[in-house]
Amino acid sequence: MFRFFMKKVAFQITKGQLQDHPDQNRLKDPSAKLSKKLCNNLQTIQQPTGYSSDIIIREFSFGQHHKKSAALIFVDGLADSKIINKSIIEPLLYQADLSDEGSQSQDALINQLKRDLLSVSEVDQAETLDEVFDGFLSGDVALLIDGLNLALVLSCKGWEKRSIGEPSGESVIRGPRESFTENIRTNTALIRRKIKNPALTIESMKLGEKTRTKVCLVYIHGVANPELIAVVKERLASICTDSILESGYIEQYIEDSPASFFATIGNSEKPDVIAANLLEGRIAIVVDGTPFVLTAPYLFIEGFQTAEDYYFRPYFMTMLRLIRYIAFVITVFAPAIYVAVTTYHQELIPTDLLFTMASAREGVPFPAFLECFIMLLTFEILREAGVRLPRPVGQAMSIVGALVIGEAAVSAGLIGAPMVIVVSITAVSVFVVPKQEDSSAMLRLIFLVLSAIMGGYGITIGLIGTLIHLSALESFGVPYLAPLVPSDLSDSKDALIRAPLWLMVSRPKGMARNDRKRKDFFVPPAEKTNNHSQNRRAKS
Amino acid sequence: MKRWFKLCLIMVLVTAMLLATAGCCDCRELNALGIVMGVGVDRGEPYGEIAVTVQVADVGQDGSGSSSSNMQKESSTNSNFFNSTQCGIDILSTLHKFSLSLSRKLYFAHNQVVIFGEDLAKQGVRDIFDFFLRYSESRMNVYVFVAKGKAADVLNVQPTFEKIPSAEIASLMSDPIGSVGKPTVLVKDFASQLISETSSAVAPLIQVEEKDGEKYFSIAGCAVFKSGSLVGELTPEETKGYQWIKGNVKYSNVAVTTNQTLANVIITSKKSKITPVLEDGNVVSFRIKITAQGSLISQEGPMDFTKLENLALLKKNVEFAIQQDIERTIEKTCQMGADIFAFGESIHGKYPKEWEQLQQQWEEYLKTIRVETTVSVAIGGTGKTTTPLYPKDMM
Repeated sequence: MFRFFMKKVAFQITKGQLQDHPDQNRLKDPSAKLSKKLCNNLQTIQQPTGYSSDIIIREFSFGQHHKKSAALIFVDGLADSKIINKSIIEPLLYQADLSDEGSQSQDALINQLKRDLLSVSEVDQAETLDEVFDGFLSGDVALLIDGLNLALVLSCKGWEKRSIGEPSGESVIRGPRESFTENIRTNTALIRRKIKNPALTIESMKLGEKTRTKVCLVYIHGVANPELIAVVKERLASICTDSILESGYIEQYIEDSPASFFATIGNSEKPDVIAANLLEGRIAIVVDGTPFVLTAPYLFIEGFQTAEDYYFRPYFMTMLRLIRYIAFVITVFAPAIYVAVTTYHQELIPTDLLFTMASAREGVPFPAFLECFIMLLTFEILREAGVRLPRPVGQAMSIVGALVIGEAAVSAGLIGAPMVIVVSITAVSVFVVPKQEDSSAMLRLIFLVLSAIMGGYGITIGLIGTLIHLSALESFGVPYLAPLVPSDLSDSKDALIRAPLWLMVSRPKGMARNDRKRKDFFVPPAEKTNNHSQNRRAKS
Repeated sequence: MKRWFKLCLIMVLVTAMLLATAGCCDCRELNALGIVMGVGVDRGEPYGEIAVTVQVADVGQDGSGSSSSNMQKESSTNSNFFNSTQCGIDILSTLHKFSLSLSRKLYFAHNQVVIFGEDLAKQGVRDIFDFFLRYSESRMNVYVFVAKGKAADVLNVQPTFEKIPSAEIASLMSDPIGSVGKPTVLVKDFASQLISETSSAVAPLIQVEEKDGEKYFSIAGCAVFKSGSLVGELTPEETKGYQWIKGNVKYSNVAVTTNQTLANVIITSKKSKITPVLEDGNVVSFRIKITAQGSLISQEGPMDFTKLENLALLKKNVEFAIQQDIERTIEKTCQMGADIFAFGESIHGKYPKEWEQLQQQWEEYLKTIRVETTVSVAIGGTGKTTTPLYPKDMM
């Protein structure tokens, strides 16, 4: 039913938007071939760009007696001018000693250029206008030569880029501190540095008709489920849009249930997290221009796992993981339960606590629901302001938040003190499970309204509804609640608890189909050394 | 366009209406509740009416207790609670009368004690007690008492430790030390005793004492009911006999003198079993077996209880003391014709056929029954020290 409505709404909204769009594309036929005449080619290339000032065309002539005229096309700022000077222009101008120019065939000329003259690492041939545009607009140099109906695209990307920094969203105490950058090649290199295996496959494609954003599909061949790879490819291919500016665009185009509060595609800015995901048989999607790499399938329990879980020893991490589940329950249910208990089920409160709560509510002008709603709204406003505001203002913000909202509201008698505690613990618990932050914020409000209307009964209805929804959700064919529902004992080693690494013998079932074994069952080294020392003792 | 919009609107409206039908009818804010902590029921002024006293907690603002309502206040200078009394023909109609004088809805889910006045208990409490079982807010784990005198007086005593008298009475009962003298009777226990055909109900007696002008309350034995009416009382000593068999005895001491040495043994747990013995179909006797664990906690005298023969002597004396307690109580209650130990039900369980005949004249039989009591106490320790503080030659 939900899906039906989504479709209806989507149709109505898009119908109006798509009424008229005159074709204003200056590039009439992108797949047109290059001509043999250099001046024609230059004309056809310059015209669609509107003679943009950053597109540099360097015309020159080379060969014996400088008879061959040619042109380099590149974008100022994207291409590395040092490489252009040193490795392209210099050899062509001073070393080009082409034999038998007139009689030389086209292929022979190109071969000679490639083999003897151009000292750049990557040389491609472009036959259509489209390919030429792709080449120089993404930072390469296009070399057009008079008399050739194709262009050489020489790689010399060299734009300014941010260096690898620390992840801002996923900070760790222990573990690598590098994070992805906006540059796709840096990002794929970071992944490859973690997994030095020929089976690590990186497939590239360009998405977005206008932005032509480079998107890489990364998986480990033989580990990732081939059906899963096919599904992801199919969904990526079906994306039909003019722009991909961030991986979030792709996430929203290919996710299983766009109508759900719960994300079914994960993201991370840490290469070690992505590598671990790949090794579990997931697929990563790296998008140019963003440090956030997508992973699919994404399951509910992944929100409760962190990279550090596997770097620290298992026992404390198991406790922390349970705490994360508790925190999620608190952040979703605490306000709702507080409202339900204080307005419907006072018999559930221990008598002495009831006195404290009742005396705190004495003189509060609003009903408990409204009181709670105001506080939650205030918290969300403060949080949003904290994210948006410029850093120097941050301090003023926290003072206003802590003093005015917490202290003054209570002493002025607008809000009861227990409500401040409930909303505070709710607010703090959100940040324990940052991956489910968005869904928990929505659920919290829904449960709050339900509990205000129907008390504990309402919370139960909401809970059942949420559970039904969650168990119906799928992420790329894998049940969203796996391995909790459907329950799977062998995969539970990494769900509610974090089993010791020597117990984690297999990859999770949903993703990896073929190569499920991670390693042989491992005898803890302590026993080995014990045997060893016993042997030694026996010898002596 | 129109059709889907209509459909959407209908869906939204239906959902909204569904939510509205659930309503907020049960919703009550905390500051609209009068939290009842104790209920006292006395005989009302015109005969046949009852006077109900409710003790409502006055939570005040932030526990300061400064703000209080101008409601009827009988109690005291300290305003953590106030008592209010109304008369009526039954409890519910009386409670509805409170709504004429109290601005808040009386909330019974946190009620701690139900106290019946002595006069009312003599008239009978069976019909009144129905309310405490049936009312949706009332709980089964509320302590039941009978007041010596008026229940309202008990509720008026200024508490010593707690803020509210009812809470103090409740914590008095939940304290396990000396539990042999305080039979704990909850609403559920009292109700199951009332409903039994032959067994008698008991409830602890609570009395108000005055000393140096200050009032305080204390447990003064046990009230014995027969078919819902108060028929007699057990003194604190006699209450022990009841508790050894039926009660939950934790941390209760037995003081005995063995060869001029006063020794105190604390009983930490006990088990009891009543087995009826029928001979020739009509002579009834009961075997009561009690096994208890305890340890020596104090002694005044030179006897060395680390010696096994002395310990055996002590054990024998303790067992005898408990046996005495039990037999005294059984004799007294059987003379009253009140079967507080549920002897009848034990026969019913074991000899259902014979019971049909016995049931007719059960009260007569009760007066003639014989009881064999065997008590075995295991004394497990002697506290932190072993031998008494006497030189060896004096022991």
